[in-house]
Amino acid sequence: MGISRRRFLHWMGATGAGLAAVKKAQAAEKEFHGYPGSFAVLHDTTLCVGCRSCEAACNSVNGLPPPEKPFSDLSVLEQKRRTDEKSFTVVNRYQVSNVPAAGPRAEPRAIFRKHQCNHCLEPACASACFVRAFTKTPEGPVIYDPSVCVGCRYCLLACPFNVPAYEYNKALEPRVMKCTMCYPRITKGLLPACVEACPMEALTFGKREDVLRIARERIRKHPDRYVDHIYGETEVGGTSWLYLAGVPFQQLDLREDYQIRPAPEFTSGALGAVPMVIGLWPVLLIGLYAINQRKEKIAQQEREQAIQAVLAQARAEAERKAQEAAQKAAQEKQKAIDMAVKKALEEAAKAKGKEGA
Amino acid sequence: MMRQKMIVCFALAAAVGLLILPLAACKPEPAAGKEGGRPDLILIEGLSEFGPLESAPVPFLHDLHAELVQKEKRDCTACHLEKAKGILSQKYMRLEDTDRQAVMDVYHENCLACHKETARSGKPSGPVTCGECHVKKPDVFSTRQPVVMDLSLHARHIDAADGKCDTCHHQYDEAQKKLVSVQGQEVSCRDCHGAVPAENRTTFRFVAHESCIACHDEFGAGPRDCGGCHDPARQKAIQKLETVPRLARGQPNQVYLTAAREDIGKSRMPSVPFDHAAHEAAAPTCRTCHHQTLKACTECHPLNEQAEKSVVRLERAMHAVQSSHSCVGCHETAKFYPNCAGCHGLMEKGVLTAFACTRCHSGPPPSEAALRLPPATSLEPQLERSSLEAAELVEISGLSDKFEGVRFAHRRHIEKLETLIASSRLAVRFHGRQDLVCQGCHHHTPAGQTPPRCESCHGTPFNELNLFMPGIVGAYHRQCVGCHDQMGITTVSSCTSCHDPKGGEGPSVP
Repeated sequence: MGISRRRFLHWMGATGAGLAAVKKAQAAEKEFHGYPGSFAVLHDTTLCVGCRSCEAACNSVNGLPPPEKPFSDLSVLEQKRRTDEKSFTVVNRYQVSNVPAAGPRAEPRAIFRKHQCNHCLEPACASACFVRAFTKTPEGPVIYDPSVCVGCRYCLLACPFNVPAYEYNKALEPRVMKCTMCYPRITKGLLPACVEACPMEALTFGKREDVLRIARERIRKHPDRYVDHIYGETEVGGTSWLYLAGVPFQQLDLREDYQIRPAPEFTSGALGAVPMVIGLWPVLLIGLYAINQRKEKIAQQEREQAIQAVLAQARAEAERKAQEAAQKAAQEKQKAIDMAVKKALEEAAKAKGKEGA
Repeated sequence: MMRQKMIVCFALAAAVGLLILPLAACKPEPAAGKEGGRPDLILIEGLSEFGPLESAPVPFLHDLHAELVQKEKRDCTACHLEKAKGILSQKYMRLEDTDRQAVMDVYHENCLACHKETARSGKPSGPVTCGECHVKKPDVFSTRQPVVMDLSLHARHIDAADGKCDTCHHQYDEAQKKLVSVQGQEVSCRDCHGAVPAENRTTFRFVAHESCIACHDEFGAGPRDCGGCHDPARQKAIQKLETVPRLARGQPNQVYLTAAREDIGKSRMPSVPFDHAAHEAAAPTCRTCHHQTLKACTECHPLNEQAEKSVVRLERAMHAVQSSHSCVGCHETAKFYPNCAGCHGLMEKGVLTAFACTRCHSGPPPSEAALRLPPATSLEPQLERSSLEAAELVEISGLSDKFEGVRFAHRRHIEKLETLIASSRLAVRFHGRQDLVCQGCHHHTPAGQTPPRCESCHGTPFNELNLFMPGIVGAYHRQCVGCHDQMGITTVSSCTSCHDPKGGEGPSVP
């Protein structure tokens, strides 16, 4: 290509300067504890008996297709399932060997946990979506707008809990499917369908502050029954679906390596820089390019001018010399003519002299 | 040509980086079925007293070696030197630890010599290279459990020793500067021999192995290998006597518990009539309560804090809920036995109501209590009948569109609970009054009154004004299912055990 080393370093320096300028424009380190008065659900896994009433209610309220095996069939609990495009929520059974003695029992019983969208306070899906199909509503749920979705499925990748599912089977207008915390129902003052259906009240619905208070009171009253932690209080920046358990959450497929850092914070730096980069860098780099080009053009022009000047000078010099030579030639010619004339005259005079004598 | 080579190189590097390296980095899942547990595992790290270890401690299986030595028709002296008449040193091939090099040499020379010799004679032998013994992450782990000499096992030992306590029990006489046996002053070995060596006392672990095993050896009875005492499976197999004869050590039968003699004037709470004989039967060992020494609690626990703030006051010693030695602590644990956990498992743990004080503090005032003993029969717990008539059947309906109502066998439940209560002296002592049984389910209700309907308090759930109260459906299920769960009742295991579905299949509980 033939770019000089100096120019290359020049461009790199400019890029670096541009980058440094962009880094300053980050969002300040803020913590978001949820919209005040937003709702949350507490799932107490020590109360869940795995009856799947919640799954049935969710299926009915959301108009989802009926499943292959009916909800009364509990043999599905033998396999761990995940949420998919036909099930916003699933209940899984965990055989844990060190169930604490909330009452001495002959053998440890199975533990059940309902899995669905956790409605994070700072959702990774909303952060990953570049068309703003996901919204964290002030009421608490994270809802999805299929009308703007482009089907890129970044949200499936971004979710720390692997919850959203995609309607791969639909050719036209496939949607991302996930729990909505029954947003239309709760805005009308009703309960989410799963919460209403649970016979054991293993799901508690209320304002997030109240739900946390209920959870803390339960832990205080029965310290032998619960692990002293509310999952979702701070994980990935806090969620609107909280869990209580009697065994380490890790054993119920709830990852314990999530710290209080919200998921979007991991990418907000890089993503926040994109508009700045797109705005500044082209201008900067094009500017530099333009300057360089101009400099080159001017240099070119100057070079040409110099050449022209030299040429002109040379020409002038040549002309002068030619003129001088012509003058000199003319002079010499004149001189020669004069000499010839003089000579002729002399000869004529001489011839005349000879005759006259 | 160069270009092609480069492409191949890059492709290989990519393959390694993306496929093989991550697989290599993955740690294999640990075996699900936790094998490799041994009760006789000893980690040889004796050199640690000379400074930090250079090699990993050696996992040594004592029973394995003892068995092999026995097969060779040899005894413990194959590895343990005699330090006094009939007493073997518990160290390996030495009487004392002199210095680092010497101890190391003892192990290396003797262990390896034996292993090499065994290998030479063609039998399977042990490791001989450094890394085979000094294993950083051994597969084997210890399942050793401490042995508890409970009253049953102790009674069997009394039998074996022909009732001669001085066979095992001694104490140190300061004046004579030697061990003597005093009849009537025997205490637990652990009262003097602790976990760490002190002045002129060795550790309990040391003396247990020295005395117990020597005696077992001499009489050819009782376990001599690690697993015989320390393997949890074999511990369960230790024979338990049906009736354990009461250990006679001059203890009272019934007594009034109150403050120590010097504090009587300062003590105000009525004394506690205490049936010591009945409690002996309930506790596995004397140390359950007499955890430090076999004296009265007030000898160590003063009424008020004295100059030393770290002393545990009498009140704490008796009432601390978390402690396994205190009265309240032990009673609290008893609440979670299956027969009791149905009600108590659902209640808040560790709550002492003012009502509970009078259940125990029902004796004469302290000044009187110090002077006499309670009459033997006065401490027998009494059942009191209730004046209320319990309904036989209770119809709970109208709450669900999926299920019919529940025809609850109310009186049968009460009768069952009363039978269970009657079988426990502790239960009768605290709630022999039948009225109190109602409060197990009809909580937050005064005793002796017809309880209000559950719907009076429990309504729709998630009421902001009543955060901690479940709704009516949740309340019923949590109370009923919770009780069955706590008591380990598996006969009631699905929704349909209690209520029929309204037309068609309802969800069921696994």
